[in-house]
Amino acid sequence: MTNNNRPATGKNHFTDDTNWQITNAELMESGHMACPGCGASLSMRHVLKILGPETIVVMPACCWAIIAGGQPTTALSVPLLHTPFAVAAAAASGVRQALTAQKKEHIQILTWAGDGGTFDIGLQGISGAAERHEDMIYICYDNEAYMNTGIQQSSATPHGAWTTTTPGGKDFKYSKKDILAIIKAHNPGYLASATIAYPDDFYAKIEKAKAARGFRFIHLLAACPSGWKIDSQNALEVTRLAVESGVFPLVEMNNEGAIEKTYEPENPISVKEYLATQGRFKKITAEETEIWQNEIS
Amino acid sequence: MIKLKHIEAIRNGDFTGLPISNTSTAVNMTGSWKFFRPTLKPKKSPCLEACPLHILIADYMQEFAAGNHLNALEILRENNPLPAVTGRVCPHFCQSACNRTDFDEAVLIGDIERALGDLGLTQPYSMESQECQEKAAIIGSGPAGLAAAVFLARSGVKVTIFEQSEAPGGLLRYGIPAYRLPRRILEKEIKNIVESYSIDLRCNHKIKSTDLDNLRKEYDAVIAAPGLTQSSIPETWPETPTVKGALELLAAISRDEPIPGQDFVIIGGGNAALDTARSLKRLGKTVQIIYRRTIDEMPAYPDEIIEAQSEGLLLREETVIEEIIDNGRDLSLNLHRSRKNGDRIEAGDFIETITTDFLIAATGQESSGDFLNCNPELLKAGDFAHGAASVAEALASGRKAAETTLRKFGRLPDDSITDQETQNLPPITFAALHLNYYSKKPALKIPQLDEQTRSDNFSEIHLGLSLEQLEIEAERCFHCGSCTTCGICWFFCPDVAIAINRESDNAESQILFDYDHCKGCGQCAEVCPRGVIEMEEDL
Ligand SMILES: Cc1cc2nc3c(=O)[nH]c(=O)nc-3n(C[C@H](O)[C@H](O)[C@H](O)COP(=O)(O)OP(=O)(O)OC[C@H]3O[C@@H](n4cnc5c(N)ncnc54)[C@H](O)[C@@H]3O)c2cc1C
Ligand SMILES: Cc1ncc(C[n+]2csc(CCOP(=O)(O)OP(=O)(O)O)c2C)c(N)n1
Ligand code: SF4
Ligand code: SF4
Ligand code: SF4
Ligand SMILES: [Mg+2]
Repeated sequence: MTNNNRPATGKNHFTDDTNWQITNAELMESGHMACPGCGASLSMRHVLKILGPETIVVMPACCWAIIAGGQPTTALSVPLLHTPFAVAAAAASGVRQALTAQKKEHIQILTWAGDGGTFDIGLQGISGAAERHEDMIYICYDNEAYMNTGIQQSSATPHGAWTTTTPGGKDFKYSKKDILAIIKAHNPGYLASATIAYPDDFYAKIEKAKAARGFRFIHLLAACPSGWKIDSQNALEVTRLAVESGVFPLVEMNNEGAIEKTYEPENPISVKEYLATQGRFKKITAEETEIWQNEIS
Repeated sequence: MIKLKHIEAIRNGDFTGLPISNTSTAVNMTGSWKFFRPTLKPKKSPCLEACPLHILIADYMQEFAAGNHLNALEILRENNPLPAVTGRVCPHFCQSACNRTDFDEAVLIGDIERALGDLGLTQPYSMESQECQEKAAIIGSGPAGLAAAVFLARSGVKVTIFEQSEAPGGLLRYGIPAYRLPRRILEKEIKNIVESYSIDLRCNHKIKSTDLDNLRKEYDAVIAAPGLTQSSIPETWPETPTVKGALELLAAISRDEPIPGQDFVIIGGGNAALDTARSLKRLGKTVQIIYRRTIDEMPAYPDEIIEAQSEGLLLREETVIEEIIDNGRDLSLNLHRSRKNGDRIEAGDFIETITTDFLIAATGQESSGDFLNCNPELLKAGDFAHGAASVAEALASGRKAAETTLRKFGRLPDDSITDQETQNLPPITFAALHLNYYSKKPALKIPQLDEQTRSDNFSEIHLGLSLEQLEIEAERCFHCGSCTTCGICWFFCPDVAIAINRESDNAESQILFDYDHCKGCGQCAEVCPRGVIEMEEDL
């Protein structure tokens, strides 16, 4: 459905503080297969709003491969190529090369994969594409586990989190893989973390990625109500608290190649407060919480 | 499995046999998954609830912020016939209840009301309905009488107002000083009402007890709004020309009559005491206020007290006059420290004896129209009906009297039960708002004349801001409980199941939920800044 885009106040579209324009055109449609409150589906909706219709999405096995709809349906009004789990970045490179050969450089390639498909099994393909500076936007929507197959831990799962393969919580000797550092080592065209809970930051970063060239990588935190053991109505708020607590900082690589914060919480909350919002962290001990807090500050 | 023959076919533009999807997922009725459904439930804002006139503040702020000043004025006037007046003198009950107070500072509702009121001085009021046969008489042209007249005339009733003074306005003209309410503003606003609604205003026309029967014969309804326009002077005080009432003195100042004497002592702690003292000071008199309780306990509006103090007014708190000695030309007063004895206040230790030219009682108001009390059929309004209160309450009471009258005429339906039910719901609280996407922004500063410039004249102290400047202030309003079609719910719906139709005039159909696809996640309800979306069980 569409939004009749006449700003209510004649000035701002969204709240008193935002001036950016949001298009009405929807390239993701209703009736998709995401769970109620899914952060990944909301994120896709807005990424496509920004990238526009001249986009081809390439996607490995992940929740989104299901969300997009079973044949013959599709939730996207742009072409979407499904690939095997490990090869999204490689397949996307092929599509890119084919388009370039046809002088269709203006068409954006959006490689869209989960954390499992990015941090773990897809990593070598990403490294190759990044090394070749393949002209694409790679977005990892990170719901912090293999959700589609029933909530198994990935190397993006934070320590302490319950998953079906870490029933007592992921061991604290493992920490979440620093994916931004890995990609940064490839000298990418653009690099940032974001979440739709901060719409203006989100829009600004996707716009920048769109305008840049080469291999561009965005790490999106996307809440998963069932995997995080939260109520669907709280999905957005929990994502917001991940940022407010410093657990998921919003960052961007600057022109000098250094990673810097794009948002600093005015009144930061503690890690403890963030963890308390989710059932998956129920078993974390006070000492572990303290370790985590110290990792941040 | 893509085979070579497929690639051949694709080259020829034939995609059959390939696993390609081109049907929208919208064919899936994913709405059937939900247990709860979002619904639009507009609520009362606390400002509206606190305002005696129940002005639709959240709504007119929206129009105002969008630059639609005349639309805002129209909404404001629906409930408030005297916005240029109340914008200046109302203590703004609304502002004290504003949810934004818990966030940073209250929205300056009063200043916006004032600017809209001033805009309205040149805009005729709109008439709503046709002429009708009924005629009504109103006694008194204070805010209560004027409001009664407006709300009757809007329904076509022919209204005559009888006013004993030479000009209309009641205490607005003969009580509240011009430095708070400039006379030209008051005059213009009343003139606009009288002309827009063709009100027959008869000044210098005092209604006496002997007139009543005739009035009741000539008119289909009579409303008494004579106010409490006389000072009540304590019985123990000597009856002498050097003892006066504050209201009489204020009226004389309003009429530009010469005020004899130099030294004035005013007893009381309400608006009348402060207004009299500050007016006399402006005329070059030496004034002090004597109040038996502490300054904090004064019933006058706190802002007035602060302003009076910054003007250098001498306020003696916790002091009582134990004895008044009439010296003929002047008076001697024995001042004592006040002492609490249970609920009573009595004289404690002696302080000093002072001499003054005039002793002014600002200790209470009474009516000149007691005869109107003896008639139970007479509708009463304003201070006369509910005791000394405020302009907004007088306006509300006048409106109520008009509505009772219209009901009697059969020209207004009885209050329906559903109306009462929704009206009885509590206003939306700060906790029910979702303000993550708002940032702190202090209220505008309203310029005023400094103490020096205003010390010897009756120029208006508060200068006000332009409509354009105040739009920024109106944007601070959260519009608690009213959908502004901001689109935040639309933005955050993962299922693209909300449509916003800003062209719709009907608030209910501005937000459309696509229940065929809404999965009932509840995020829209959690993000709506104004708390107007509620999740209901999906049956
Ligand atoms: C000094 C002072 C300052 C105040 N300041 C404020 C303020 O800042 N803000 C605020 O909200 N409120 C203020 N108030 C209160 C407010 O002014 C009154 O509550 C309000 O004016 C009451 O309105 P009313 O219409 O009931 O009566 P009034 O305003 O008193 O009007 C009654 C009218 O009836 C006329 N009348 C009486 N008897 C007859 C008769 N027999 N025949 C014909 N006409 C008659 C009178 O001449 C008068 O014009 C103040 C009051 C005083 C005394
Ligand atoms: C080679 C291979 N191994 C396993 C799978 C099964 N599989 C499909 S999706 C998925 C999980 C994907 O996890 P992630 O990338 O984090 O995406 P999410 O489902 O969490 O959105 C797995 C294990 C597969 N499709 N291919
Ligand atoms: S924020 Fe606006 S609607 Fe809410 S109480 Fe204040 S003035 Fe009223
Ligand atoms: S979020 Fe905005 S558009 Fe949606 S219901 Fe609330 S006020 Fe209306
Ligand atoms: S956000 Fe969308 S899917 Fe969720 S309850 Fe609201 S309308 Fe339904
Ligand atoms: Mg995942």
